[in-house]
Amino acid sequence: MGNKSSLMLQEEEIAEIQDETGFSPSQIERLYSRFTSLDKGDNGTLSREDFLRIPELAINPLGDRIVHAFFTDAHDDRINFRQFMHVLSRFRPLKKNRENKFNSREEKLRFAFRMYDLDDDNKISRDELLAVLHMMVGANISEEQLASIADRTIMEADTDGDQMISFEEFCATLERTDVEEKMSIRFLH
Amino acid sequence: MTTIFLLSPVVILMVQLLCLNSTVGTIHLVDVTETTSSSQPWNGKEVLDHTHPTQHQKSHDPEVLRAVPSKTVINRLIRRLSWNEPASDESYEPVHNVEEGGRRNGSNSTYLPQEAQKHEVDHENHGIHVASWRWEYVKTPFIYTSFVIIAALCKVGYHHANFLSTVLPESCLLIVLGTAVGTIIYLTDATHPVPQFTSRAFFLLLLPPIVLESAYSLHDRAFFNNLGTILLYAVLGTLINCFLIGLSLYGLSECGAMGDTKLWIIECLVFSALISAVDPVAVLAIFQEIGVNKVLYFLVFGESLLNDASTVVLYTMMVGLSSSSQVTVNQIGLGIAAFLCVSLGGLIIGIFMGIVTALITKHTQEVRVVEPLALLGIAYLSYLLAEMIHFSGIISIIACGLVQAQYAFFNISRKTYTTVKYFSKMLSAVCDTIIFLFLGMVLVNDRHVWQTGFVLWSTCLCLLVRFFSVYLLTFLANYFQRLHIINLEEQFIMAYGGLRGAVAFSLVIMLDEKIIPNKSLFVTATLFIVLFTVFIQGSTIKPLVTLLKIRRQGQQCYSLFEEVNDKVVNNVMAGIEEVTGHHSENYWKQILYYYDEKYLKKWLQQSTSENTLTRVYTKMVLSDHFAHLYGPATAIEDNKPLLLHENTDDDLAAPLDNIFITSDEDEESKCSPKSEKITFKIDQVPESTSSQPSFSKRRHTLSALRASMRTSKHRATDEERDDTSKLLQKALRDNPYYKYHQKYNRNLVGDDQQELASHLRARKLRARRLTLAAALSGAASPALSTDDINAVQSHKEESSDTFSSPRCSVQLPSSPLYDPTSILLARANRRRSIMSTRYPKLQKANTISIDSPSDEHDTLHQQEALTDSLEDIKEVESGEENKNGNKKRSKKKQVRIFSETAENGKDETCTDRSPENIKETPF
Repeated sequence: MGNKSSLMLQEEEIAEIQDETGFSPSQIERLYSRFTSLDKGDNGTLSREDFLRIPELAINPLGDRIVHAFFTDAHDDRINFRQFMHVLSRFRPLKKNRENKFNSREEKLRFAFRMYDLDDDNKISRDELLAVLHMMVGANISEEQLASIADRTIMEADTDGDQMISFEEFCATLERTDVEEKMSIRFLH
Repeated sequence: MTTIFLLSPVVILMVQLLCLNSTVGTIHLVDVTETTSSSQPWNGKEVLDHTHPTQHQKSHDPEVLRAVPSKTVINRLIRRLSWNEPASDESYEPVHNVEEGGRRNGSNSTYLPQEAQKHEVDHENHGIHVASWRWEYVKTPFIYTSFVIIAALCKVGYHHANFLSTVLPESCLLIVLGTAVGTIIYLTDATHPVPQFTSRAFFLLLLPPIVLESAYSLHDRAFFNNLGTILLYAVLGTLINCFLIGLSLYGLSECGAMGDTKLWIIECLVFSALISAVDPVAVLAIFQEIGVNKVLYFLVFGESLLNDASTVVLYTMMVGLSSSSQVTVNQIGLGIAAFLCVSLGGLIIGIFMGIVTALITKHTQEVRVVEPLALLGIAYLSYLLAEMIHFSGIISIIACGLVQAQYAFFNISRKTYTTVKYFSKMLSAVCDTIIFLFLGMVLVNDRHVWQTGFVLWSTCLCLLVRFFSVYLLTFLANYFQRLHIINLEEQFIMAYGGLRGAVAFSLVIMLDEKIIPNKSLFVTATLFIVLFTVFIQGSTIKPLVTLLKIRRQGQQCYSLFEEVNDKVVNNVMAGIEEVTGHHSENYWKQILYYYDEKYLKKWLQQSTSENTLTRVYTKMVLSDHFAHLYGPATAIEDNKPLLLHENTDDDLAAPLDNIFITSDEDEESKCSPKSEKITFKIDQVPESTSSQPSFSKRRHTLSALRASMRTSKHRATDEERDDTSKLLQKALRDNPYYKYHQKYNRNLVGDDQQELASHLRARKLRARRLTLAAALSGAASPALSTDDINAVQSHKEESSDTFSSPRCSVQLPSSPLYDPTSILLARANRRRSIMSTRYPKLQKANTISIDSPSDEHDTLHQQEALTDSLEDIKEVESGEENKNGNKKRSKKKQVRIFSETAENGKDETCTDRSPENIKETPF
């Protein structure tokens, strides 16, 4: 794995990652250099602190959530390059003939779902939604309004009546939005 | 019916022309009388009678004859004789006849200005008019107004002619009608009184409203997401079009493909510069009708709007080049500088004026009437300002409109918003119609120079080069930048939708014949291309869109979750971009958004202005509200009891009567300043009030209710159920909300709930009480006897079924509709008992409060603190208040100014009093 502290990426490793994620070798190398530049401790893995050191991520209202999403598959509090790439590959644009297990619509949606699911129980409760809303909206919206919006949102999406939004309900609600397009970025070649 | 509509404009015009011709006839008569009879005051009478046969009968009466100051009329006629001198023309539209200049010589102004001056003095001693004919006095505004009305009638006619609207686009029909009108004018030779198409009128009066309206509609994420591509088309595409068309036309004329016409290279480029502009008016007219998906729509439409700058610059550059003999590198450099200056200058002026609007509207809570003026007026001002310094007015007004939509729209009241929307929509629709009518009219004249080779070649080149440039640029865009790949079918529609229109035509008639000798040829060719694109392409594009299976624009459906999720996704994408270290659009969007939220909104918006999330929320709650409202209301109006309780109607009627009686004018003053302080709580969760069960608890009650509902369902007989479900279905079908929303019509403005509110105010008042009761089921249910609950539940089940039918736009699963009247009754009873036993003092307080309106709210507040049910009513009301978008002010002056607000106020006062009424009825 990427545990070696060498700056060079092994050929076979590139091929492996390419196979898994669909990134091109040049993209992988570019992202690897980004990875190493984030890796201040120079130990081949990234910690949460490494992420939060990115200045723009610090002002991003969902910065913590995004960082957290990188660590969902990690066993300890560090992720290696391969895990890093797995997360990023979710945001590759979806093309008809080049689908893989990471950047499907469902995976993209799951990533979005994780933003809300603060306690990782695969359900969005009212409080979780309210918390996310709190992070995002500005000051010009009152507490009560926010609460009623959260209620209303839950009500809208909740089909089985448990006052929570499960992942299935989440997908059903967002059926009409073009998540494939919105949740994709162009990685430089 | 349809034919009447279609013919009516033509008929009106005929009548008008007859009228005009008779006026022309007068002029000769006046000539005669004036020269012979300055000393005989009665001679004028003949003239008058002769001129207007309709007056004849009246003038038999000698009294009337004496009274008619014939001279005055004649003098007016004389003064108006100098009609074709623009300086003395009192027309309110500065239309100058450019094209038809030669024709006007036919009119006969034989009077010297001095003479007219002399008669002016006579004009002062007029007698008493019983009746007089003052055609000349009103002539110009009259003609213009009726012309606009004709345009409106054309539109109405088109929408009634179903067979036509499926085949032809509206613009085609208008051109045909215009041609008919033009022919009539041509045959009757009455050119001069009829308004003419001039490029000045087009650019200063007709174009700005259309562009402003479209700028408001450009305020959309789809537009900003595709801005790069749109700019690519608008700038590079126009350049490619211009040079390819111009150079190949020159080549063709050199080869002799155009017969003996020899064209100069600069001439070709001038022509290609003006013909390469895709016209926003034509594109808008057709693309709105077919309703393609947003991305495609904005690509074509945005391009057609933004290419204005490049077209105008190219055009002026080419015209400039054509007057000088040789082309130097300097001039090209200047041209590029001019382009930047024109577009960026326009942009800056527009943004500046938009910010000014936002700052003005930030301080207009007290004077709502000026808001529409501020928005529309300043937008127009920004257009004029930019045009004045020779910047692109179109870009300026677009920028202004966008900034207004971003900031000022959140400062203005709901009503202002609707006004602005409607007004701009109306103006643009009328201007649109007039432009196409004019295009038809200018077709009929005898100055066309037809040159088959040139016309056909230029048409072909236009099409070919358009396709070429679109495919080339889309390839580039897809390759470099875009996430959403524009597929080949969409590219085809984009290329095919490149319609030419009035912009090209106005530019071509602005040409100077001394510099461009082939002007007439160009005019004819431009007209042909315009007609070709509008007719052939315009009418075939709709079938093509269906054939190529282009994704159409789906019905706009609001969902809070989508709105929330959109924000989340935007943040996530920006975050991911930051992680990858490559900053692209998401990142910049986020940065912009951040600064927007942090600084700009603070400076430019009121602190109370609504968030977009809140707006969507309000809209949804409102639509829910209506759906719930009119179901029971219509049922009750049909005098069929929703529940088969006998005392229902009578008991309900009593408090209702009281409301209507007490809602007189004086009540307005009772909207005391206190009501301002009510926080915005929409359908608020009872959590905040300690006396209420917490939200989850209430939910619990509801679900428990529903559970027991299912078990008790069997008790209701089939008959009963059928009856009720039918009733509800009928109620839902007849519900005015759906009547208004049944079909999408682009001639309607999006948020029509306000209009609806005014239509249905009385009904709403009654229905609100019922919904209110329904909303309070959780609180009320314990008081109900078990029998009641069972009866209610059986119907509840029915109604919730009906509501889940697809016709109901937004469904509210957890609060189904159930019989409100019984709950209302139970609640009223309970409150009565509470009031009479526990708080006898309050009765007194109540009676006092009626005398002292300012205290009323305080007393009300006290009462509410005592009885939880009242608290609830209060909350729903305040929600109501929010929906109306008006923070009420009790100042009487304002109430008078805004009659609408006053009505709202009245409305609300009634509900304010409703709890009282319930209390008072038993005593």
